Amino acid sequence: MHQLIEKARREGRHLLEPEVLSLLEDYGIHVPRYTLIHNEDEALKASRSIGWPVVMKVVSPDIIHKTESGGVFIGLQNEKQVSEAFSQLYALESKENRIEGLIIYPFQKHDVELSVGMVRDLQFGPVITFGLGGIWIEVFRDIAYGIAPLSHKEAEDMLDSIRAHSILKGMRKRSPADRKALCELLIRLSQMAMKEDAIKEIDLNPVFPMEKGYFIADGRVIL
Amino acid sequence: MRSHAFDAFFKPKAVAFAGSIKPGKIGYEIIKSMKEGGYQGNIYPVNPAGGEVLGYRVFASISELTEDVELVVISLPLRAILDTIKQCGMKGIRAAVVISSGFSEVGNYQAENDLVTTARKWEVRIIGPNCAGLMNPWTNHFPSIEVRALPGHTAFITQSGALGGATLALAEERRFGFSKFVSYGNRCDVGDIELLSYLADDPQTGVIALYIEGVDKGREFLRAAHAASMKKPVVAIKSGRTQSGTRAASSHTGTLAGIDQIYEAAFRKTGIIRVEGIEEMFDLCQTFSQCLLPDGNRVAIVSNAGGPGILAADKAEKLGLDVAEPSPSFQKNLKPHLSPHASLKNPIDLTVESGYEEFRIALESALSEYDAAIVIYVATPYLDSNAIARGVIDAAKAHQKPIITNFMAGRIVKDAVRLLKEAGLVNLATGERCAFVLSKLTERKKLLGRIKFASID
Repeated sequence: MHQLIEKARREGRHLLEPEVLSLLEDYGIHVPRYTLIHNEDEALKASRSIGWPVVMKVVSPDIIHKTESGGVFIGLQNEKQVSEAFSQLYALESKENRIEGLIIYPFQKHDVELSVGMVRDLQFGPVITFGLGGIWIEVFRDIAYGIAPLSHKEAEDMLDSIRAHSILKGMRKRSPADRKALCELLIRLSQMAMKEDAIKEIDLNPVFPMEKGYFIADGRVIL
Repeated sequence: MRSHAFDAFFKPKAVAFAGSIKPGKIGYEIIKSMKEGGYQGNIYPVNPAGGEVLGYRVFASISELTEDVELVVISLPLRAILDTIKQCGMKGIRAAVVISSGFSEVGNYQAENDLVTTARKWEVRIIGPNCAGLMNPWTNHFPSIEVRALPGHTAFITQSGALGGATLALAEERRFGFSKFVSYGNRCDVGDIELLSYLADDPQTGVIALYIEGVDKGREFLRAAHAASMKKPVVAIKSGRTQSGTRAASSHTGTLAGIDQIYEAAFRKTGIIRVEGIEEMFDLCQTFSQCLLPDGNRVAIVSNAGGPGILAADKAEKLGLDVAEPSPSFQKNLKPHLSPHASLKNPIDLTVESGYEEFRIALESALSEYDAAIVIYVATPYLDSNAIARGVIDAAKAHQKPIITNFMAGRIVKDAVRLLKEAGLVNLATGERCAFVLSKLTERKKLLGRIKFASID
């Protein structure tokens, strides 16, 4: 069992976002360059080093729905905005809403949102999911399911089997998605799910398909 | 020498029946079915009452039986079962079918645990309890209360005994045969996983059909199903109700992942072909056991009537088949042989002015340039339906490609349909059903290429 999962289990909580990203990284999945900060100076320093604009989110074992709770700031353009966001995010802190810091990473322009995830079935074990992401996942329920572990052929099959698959080919002057990288993401996630029995669910949403690679903009791991 | 432990279930040298020997009781009815079915081995009723039933001597206990018994069929009341299993073990009988109910299906988990423990201890394998029994029509072996199956090439494994019984009754009416039939009931020991592996290597079985409510040991099921469908087509009816997959999900995707989607994914990974119901299962199993797989998905529709041909073409296209236009040379070569009103597109409409020669030559030419064909013939009383059937049969002989026929309808094509069937052709009630089975033949071809790359741990 991965030490981060062990630690979270001991503490009776799910993984925090920086832990999710670190876990994914250990299984060979590309994650954005992120920094966990605890004070305003660190926030400014990290933002300058990452380059503008940046995304800043609250890291809390208690706040599950970050966006709805006002725990996410995207597209922060300068130091003033970072300072303001910093105060507002820390203003969320209370007895019920513990804050373990803030996570900062680069803002990524995008137009397509995907979701990649895993649900563990009692009979068949880990099932990998792939589909449209963001709010579209609930609107269209356009999701492909594949039982882990996935071969390259099975991962490709999943990309092709969503109804919106043509969106990956690059319509109307958009550049096509990096299919190989997306397949790799599904395969590695399936390998991680096979190995880490303690994970009940994974929800990477949204994931932006890029001309080269992909960008995981948010991730949750439920134990 | 035994090649497989399950041969004791399906090809036993002799069978004992522990249960009631009163007419109307299950024990008696099974013995009667074995006798009427023409079982060649010895039949030994076992009941403390002794005496004789249906011309067989009744033995007072298992221990008195001769050494040739390999299978015991148990329809005893609950309290007598464990001791019988023990007797089997001591006698060296390694297989028992337990028809009796009253176990986990009514919440009596203790009784089922005791049954499993006793069976393990005495090394007796069990099919059941709470099942409808099994059949091997090829050896006239019918230890079941259901309608005796005709011999055929489809093995049917069912989780529901009642659905199994209904399927056998429908199959009889359709003259549809089986290689094996198994109702495994509560699956306390032998279940679909081991049966899939056994039947995958059974020479009489060309197709395996499953009725599933829910699997247990899902990962093992994946391995067995994948290995089986690499060898032969596996067709499944999966009904919705099952508790096994319910789970509390907290993510969006988790909430959306219904049990049905997960079964679809399992079937996709292993190559199982899902059908919606019994009719589709019959159509498909018959097609799989009689037709070769097509090389591609180009299908010609040859018909003597417009409407039904177009309906079949619409369905075929909807299911992913390619109802492509024939080549100019095809049209040029065929035209002189057909009625001047014939339409040489696809569907190829021969018109009502066509008989043996038109059907034969049109189908033969179509098979030269297509991967498969659907032949639709709408009869009128003045047409010689038998001659047209012969035209189709003669054209079929020239090619090793799948041909599905739809001769309609009723009394006026009865003899013609019989000719088609005798020639090994599949005849279905509508052109749409022909399109459905052809689409599944091409799907099977594709999935054979795909599942060999599936990652099965």
